[in-house]
Amino acid sequence: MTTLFFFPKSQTRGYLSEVDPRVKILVFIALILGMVLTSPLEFLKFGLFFALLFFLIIQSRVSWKPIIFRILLVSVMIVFIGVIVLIFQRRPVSQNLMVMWNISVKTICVVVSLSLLTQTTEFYRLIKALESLRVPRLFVSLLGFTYRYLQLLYDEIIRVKRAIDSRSFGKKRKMENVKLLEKTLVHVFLRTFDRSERIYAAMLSRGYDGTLSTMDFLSLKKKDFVFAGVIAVFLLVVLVLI
Amino acid sequence: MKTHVIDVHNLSFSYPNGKKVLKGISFAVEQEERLGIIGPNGAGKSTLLYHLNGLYRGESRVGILGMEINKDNLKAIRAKVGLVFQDPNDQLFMATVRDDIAFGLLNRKVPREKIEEKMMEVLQYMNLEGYEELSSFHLSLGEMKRVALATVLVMEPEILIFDEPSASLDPGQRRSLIGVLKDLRQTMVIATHDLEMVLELCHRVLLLHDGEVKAEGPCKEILSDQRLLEQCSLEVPPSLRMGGVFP
Repeated sequence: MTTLFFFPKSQTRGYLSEVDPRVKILVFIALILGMVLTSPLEFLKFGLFFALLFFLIIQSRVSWKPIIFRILLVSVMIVFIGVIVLIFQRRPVSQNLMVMWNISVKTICVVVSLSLLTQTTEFYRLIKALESLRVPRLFVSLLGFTYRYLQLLYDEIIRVKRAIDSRSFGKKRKMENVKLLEKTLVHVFLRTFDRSERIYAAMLSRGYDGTLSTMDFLSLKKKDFVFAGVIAVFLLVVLVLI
Repeated sequence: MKTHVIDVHNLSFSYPNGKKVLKGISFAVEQEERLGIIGPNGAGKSTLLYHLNGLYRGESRVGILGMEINKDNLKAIRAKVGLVFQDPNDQLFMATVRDDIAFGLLNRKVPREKIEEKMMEVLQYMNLEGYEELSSFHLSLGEMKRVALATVLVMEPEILIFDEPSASLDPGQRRSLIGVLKDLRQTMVIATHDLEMVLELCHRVLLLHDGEVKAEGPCKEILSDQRLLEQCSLEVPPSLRMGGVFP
């Protein structure tokens, strides 16, 4: 079985990993809002935001690799938007460059923040945190099921692909590849439909009545309040006092 | 005199596409008895099991612990009848083992402290301590099967229903599962192709073929009838062919 890259067995055990996921979600939402609402001309403020993120990355001992990978991934999108802006917006180049800078700096800040959040929190803890923060149950349940079954679906696709490859010879033309992809997706969809029926039966057999309850094990500690307090002071200083 | 905890009388069932899967099935299971349900693929074994938990509702009567299954007592029935599915991936749908084990008890509104206590007991019993925070997709198939059984055992059911419990297990995992099942005191219904396991675990066997009961009786008697088994695309288990290892 090939494990999907976003399903690591264990996470890093740095500072942020020990902070309550609810606190982390709220703190990162506040940080992201702070970054997004800051004017692109306030270079000092962005410098401070980056310094904070850098400090958190070092303290949390997370790997740089996925962060850089994600930045590169969004960079492609940023370049694409930049080209569109340059072609279609009839403004001076300096103004267009400012738009590009605005988009780039904020997107990178958001990507680094979210990477930090996801790399220091196991996915099921994020789900628990969202549930505890009163995010609609249906949405949280869907996220939970996606997390639980994505690996299985991935394995299914790999098996179908292997079965197809084992009976295919020579180089395929593009249209043939598209047709194969279409067949694979239909097959996986039908299997998923069957499985969803069996899962529902399994839920009913254990008394499911429409409410997906889970055991609540999150509890706030002194560390969580300290972390939230420090970030609140940081935001106050950066957004109001500077 | 032992009482019937499962009482199925003249049960018939058709899928919405009109295919008749069960045709006039009748049988009864006594308390603490282990009944094996055998038959070829498509004989209706899994469909029959689904009726015992109220997931499917066919024509005529299915009685569980003296209650006839109906809309009003479904919750009570499901609390008494634990169903272990063939593929543990269908049964373990929550993000962690802990949530999967707690699922049935939470639905029964058992207090959380009590759930915690019962969960620890069952994890210890199934030799799964330390697995609570793991996600099911990080487990091996044998471990998943054990967790799936734990999700049912924690509810303390009086009847256990198994759909192909030994399917896809390696010999070691299969042996350890049989060991666990042997120690359980609940009434059991086991649908399987693993005739050796039936011989080792069950007191009686029900042979299904094409939705009908083809034969019913003591395991050794049914499982050594070569002609009958061959008619139903089954074969005499090796231990009986070799003169009988199990008494």
